[in-house]
Amino acid sequence: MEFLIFSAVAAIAIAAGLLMVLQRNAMYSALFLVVVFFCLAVIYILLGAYFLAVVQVAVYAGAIMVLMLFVIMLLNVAWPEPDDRVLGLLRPLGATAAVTFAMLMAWALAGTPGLPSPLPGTSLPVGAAMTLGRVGEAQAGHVQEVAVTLFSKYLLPFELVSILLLAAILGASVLARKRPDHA
Amino acid sequence: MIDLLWLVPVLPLAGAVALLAGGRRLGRGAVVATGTGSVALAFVVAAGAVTDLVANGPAMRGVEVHLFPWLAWGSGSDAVTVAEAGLLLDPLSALMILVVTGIGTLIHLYSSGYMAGDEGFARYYAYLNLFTFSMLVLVLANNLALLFVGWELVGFCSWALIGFWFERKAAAAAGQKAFITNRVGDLGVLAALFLVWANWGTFSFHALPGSTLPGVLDDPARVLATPLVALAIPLLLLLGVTGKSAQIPLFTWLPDAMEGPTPVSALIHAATMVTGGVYLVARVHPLFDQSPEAQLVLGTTGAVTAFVAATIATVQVDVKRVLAYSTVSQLGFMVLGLGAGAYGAAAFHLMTHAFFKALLFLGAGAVIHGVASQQDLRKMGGLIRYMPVTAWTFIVGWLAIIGVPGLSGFFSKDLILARAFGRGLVDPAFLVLFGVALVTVGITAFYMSRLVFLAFLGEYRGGSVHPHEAPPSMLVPLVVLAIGSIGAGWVGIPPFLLGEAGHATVIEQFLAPATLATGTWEGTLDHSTEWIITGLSVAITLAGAGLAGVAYLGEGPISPVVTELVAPFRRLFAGRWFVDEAHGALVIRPLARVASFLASVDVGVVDGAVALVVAGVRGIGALLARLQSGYVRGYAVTMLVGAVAVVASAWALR
Amino acid sequence: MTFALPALDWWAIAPMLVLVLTGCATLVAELVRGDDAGRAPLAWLTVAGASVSGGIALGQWDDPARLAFSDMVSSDRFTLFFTVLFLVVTCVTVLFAFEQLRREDFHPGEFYPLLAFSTIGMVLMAAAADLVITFIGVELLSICLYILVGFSRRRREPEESAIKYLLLGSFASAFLLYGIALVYGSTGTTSLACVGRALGAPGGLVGACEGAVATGSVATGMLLAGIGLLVVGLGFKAALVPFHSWAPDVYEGAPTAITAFMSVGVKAAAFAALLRVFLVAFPTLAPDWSVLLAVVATVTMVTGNTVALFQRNIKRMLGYSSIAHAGYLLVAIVAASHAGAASLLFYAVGYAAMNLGAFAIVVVLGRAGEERVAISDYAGLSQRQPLLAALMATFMFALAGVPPTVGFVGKFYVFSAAVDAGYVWLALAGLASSVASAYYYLRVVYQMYMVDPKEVVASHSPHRWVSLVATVAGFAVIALGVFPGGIIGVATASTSFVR
Repeated sequence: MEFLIFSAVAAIAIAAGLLMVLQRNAMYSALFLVVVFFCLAVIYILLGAYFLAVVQVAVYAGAIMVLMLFVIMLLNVAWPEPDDRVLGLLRPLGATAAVTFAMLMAWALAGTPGLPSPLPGTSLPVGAAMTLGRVGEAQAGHVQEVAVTLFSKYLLPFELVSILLLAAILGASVLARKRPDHA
Repeated sequence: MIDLLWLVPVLPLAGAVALLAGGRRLGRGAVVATGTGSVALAFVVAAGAVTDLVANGPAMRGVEVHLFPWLAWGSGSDAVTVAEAGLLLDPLSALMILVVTGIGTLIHLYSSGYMAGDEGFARYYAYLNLFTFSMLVLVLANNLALLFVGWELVGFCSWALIGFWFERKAAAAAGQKAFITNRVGDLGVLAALFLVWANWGTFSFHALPGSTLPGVLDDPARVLATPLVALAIPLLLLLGVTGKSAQIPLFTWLPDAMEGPTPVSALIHAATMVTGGVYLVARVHPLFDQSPEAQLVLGTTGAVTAFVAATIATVQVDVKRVLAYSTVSQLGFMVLGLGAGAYGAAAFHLMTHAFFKALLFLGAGAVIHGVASQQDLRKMGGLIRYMPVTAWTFIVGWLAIIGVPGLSGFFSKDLILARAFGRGLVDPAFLVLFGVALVTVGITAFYMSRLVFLAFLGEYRGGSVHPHEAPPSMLVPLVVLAIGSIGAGWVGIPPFLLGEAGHATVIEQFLAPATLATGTWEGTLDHSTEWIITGLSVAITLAGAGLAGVAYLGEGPISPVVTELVAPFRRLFAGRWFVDEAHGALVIRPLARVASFLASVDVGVVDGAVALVVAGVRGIGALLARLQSGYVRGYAVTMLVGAVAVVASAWALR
Repeated sequence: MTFALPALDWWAIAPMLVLVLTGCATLVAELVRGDDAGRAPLAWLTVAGASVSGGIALGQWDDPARLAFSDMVSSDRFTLFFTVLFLVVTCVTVLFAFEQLRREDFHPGEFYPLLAFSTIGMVLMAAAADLVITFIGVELLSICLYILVGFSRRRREPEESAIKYLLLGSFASAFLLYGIALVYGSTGTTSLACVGRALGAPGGLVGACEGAVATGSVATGMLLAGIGLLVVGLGFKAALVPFHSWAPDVYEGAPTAITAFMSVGVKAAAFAALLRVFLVAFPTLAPDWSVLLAVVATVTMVTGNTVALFQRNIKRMLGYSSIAHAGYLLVAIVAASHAGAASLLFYAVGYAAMNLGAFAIVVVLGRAGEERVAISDYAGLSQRQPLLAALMATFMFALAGVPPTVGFVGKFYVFSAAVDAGYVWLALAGLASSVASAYYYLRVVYQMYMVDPKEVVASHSPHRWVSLVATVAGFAVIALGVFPGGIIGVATASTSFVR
């Protein structure tokens, strides 16, 4: 059952991802991205990472996508038509490379036995449980677990991400300030 | 004085630094004093050190002076020195430092007259001092890595000095050509360096296998190189030799280098730097002794170069170019000697050649100076009447180089011939090379006589320019070098001429601790054979000179039959055997094509294909524009293709 | 569920903390001082912060090596070595940028904080003991760079470069993340040392490896794919071929100060991360990846040196040159030995001196609104600015690897480490390509010394700080070539974790 759901959702996610890339219309692309986000959220639930699933829906599908849609609508971006003679060659080559890459990865992963179970008597770390969801019923994926992990083992990365965000905000302000100058 | 050996290279370096830093503020006198004085002092110290070395007795061994660890691995007390900054004084390097500092001093002095009117006076002296320093590092280094530093530095100085008059386009281009050509040779030396390291784990000369010198790093249990490496190392070094010492196929830069000031040609491109390759082989001769095949290649390179360069010299009309090809040819003789395993004889010829070729170049410089920078032989003639000192010293140099008995060139050239013949008794291929060399002796006599006859004898053809003798600062070096050109050979008078038993000359015995070939042939000919060889070479010399006399001193026109007969040869020689063209067609253009192909592909394997299509559609201009526009999608696809390649080969190559 | 904060070893990350404070302080200072008033103070504040940070790093030299913050970062000499190197690069960049910003009349408000934050990213890449930190370091660095590359008021090219870099950089980050995921999937841990232990590497600084699964030193397909993707992700930052195509465009378009920063600092950071990852996590798999990297190194050296021959723009030429140098640096990793690691550190220092020096000259010669970056702009420089020309010539000869400069010694160390590791062919390939490189470096010297200036350019007084940088770099290039022992000793001590 779990496998069936996973396969179905994964297939939808891949299809939506492809559609998103292949769409000419930015609005449609954005909407397909929402589908991908939802599929991912389902997969998180299957893995037992409930908190992550909720965050995925709330933050990405909710906040970020809405923002992106606003921007697309406000700017009314017209995508320039690329030179077809150049793209003509690039497209099949790119597609071939992409398919080869996918096959390569599939081959690499298929040839590898699944991660061996942890040695008896040890338990998976919470961090691993969060993403892998191997712990089953116990506690994984709960808000408290995530919080504890974030503020203990992953304290440093967590704090560093705040600097990253600060840098991103700074960057946004630089870009914002720049615009009028160019007119 | 051996303790002060470090002063020998450091003094010229100090001079160079002082001149570079303060040259503009110094007066000309001070510049000359600094430049010449520092080299002269270095000569004094060198002479003292060599005296000490000789005092160590006939079994004298090398003396090492350790300065500081240079290349090392590890930290603190665990550090292991790979190559130190250390000097090695043995008979071979002793000979070299005396030549470099001695002739260097004379040329510094000469330059004060020759370059007197030049704007970049201080800069010139700074470069010249820097060169002297570099050359001394080359010859005094006690390991291959440090030698390579000197090797590269002399190349750099040569580049700077050839291009010194960069206002002349040809000079700048010649500098470039010299540097790039030498880089090809340097690749050989570097590759050999790393192979030596990979095989023996050391750069120290002492520790080289089969070395005659004792050394702390010597290890009898050292693993011998595989036959392939034993052949590869000398051949790679040979590539370096063909670059630095202007041998086939890389010799074409040296004649072009004549665009530099004449004293530079004398010092760098005749007496010292170009002999660096010869010195290198003599220094690491155990590597060559291991491989008779490499020796044969070496000997062949030398003999063929000697012959080819000599033929080209016969048709040159620029006085400096005649001398340049003559230098290439004489270097060929030395390399032939090296190939025959006669390292002592090669080093001996190196020394005598330094004297007479420096003399000839400086003489040519005095001529050029005296006839308002005219270098064309056809516009000279009869100069002996206007500049007697220059002419007579030049004639001494002429007699020395063609090998008139009693002068230095006679002894050293015949020694190489004799050794090549001796080698031929065990290795018949060398008999052929001996024959080639013997013919070359005749050609040498021909073109040098032609030069002297055209420049100094006959009627003056220079029109309104009035030749004048050079100033004393230029004449003094000429006279000193003339004396050297006569006397320098006397240390190598073969025993059979003195009616003594034995074979080795005094100079060979002196050099033996450093250059004696081990485990290979040690030349022994009976005295009657030596007499015959000497007689032959003298006869051929006279024939060559006589032919030149007939052709260039004789009255009346030369028979058209003869002209007709030599015409194709003249074309071949004047075209310089079309070696430059061969470089272009066989190496440079194919490489350039590959490079530009790579460049067009670079923007991406994908983009390369795209580029070709676009080029087909819209022409090259559009292609270039597109390549520069930096097409992001193409880049992304390139990355993806690269990722596929990397992941796939991670698999394939594990 | 008990909640225990991990041990907070603040001292271990003190250099980074100081940089965080510096970045924030410049940000606030700019607000306080207003728009145009605080130009010089901001620059000096950044330099002061970097100096304090560097001072702390130097002071930590004799501290015991340890992991900190739940085994996320290592505080060891390797980290400190690179921290100091990055800080020097940052300070030099500030000096360059100060000159350029003044010229371009551009608002520095966000420039200095972004520079400080990107330095933190680089330090993280060197200090990372966990792939999570490696990734955050790369991202922090990248986000800052996307903005810094586009930093210009007057010209459009920087913006174009920035967008290119952003798009391709995000692409590369995806590969990196995928690679990390596959490594995690194969070994059950993201800690470098734990991955190493899972793959059978002996000892070293290892934290608690709960969850790690000992797989022995057999590379599964998943792990190999992961390693390959890490090469892609980090190779992008290091500008290895075939992940280099962005580099020439971005180097050409970015403000020269940032080009210098990227070609030296970012490259060194990428190699620090590569070295940590490959020699701490995957040393036992060296037979599996070293041939791959050797091939990449060869292709990188040959491509960089060949394509550089065709460049007319000096920043682009130095861009391709830096690709070639990335190839040399990769040779040191291929050796997979202590000697190789030490030679990488040495080369990074030497390369910093040569390249920063060269870029200093490029900055000095630029003028407002006109960068003067065509190689032909250097014609006759020796007559107008003999000292600058001599310095530039020194840097060019050093980059070409002519002794007795640090360029030669660095290549010597790198290639002899490769030879010791049995990669004679790789050393020979590197030598051949570096010999060819002389041609394009020499072209600059040729222009400066042997071509008459095209036009009479009113000589303007070069910025003293940038000239000082060039002079110090010139001195270092020679000094390190003659006396390399000190740095190689420090480099050896800094890489003792490699066996």
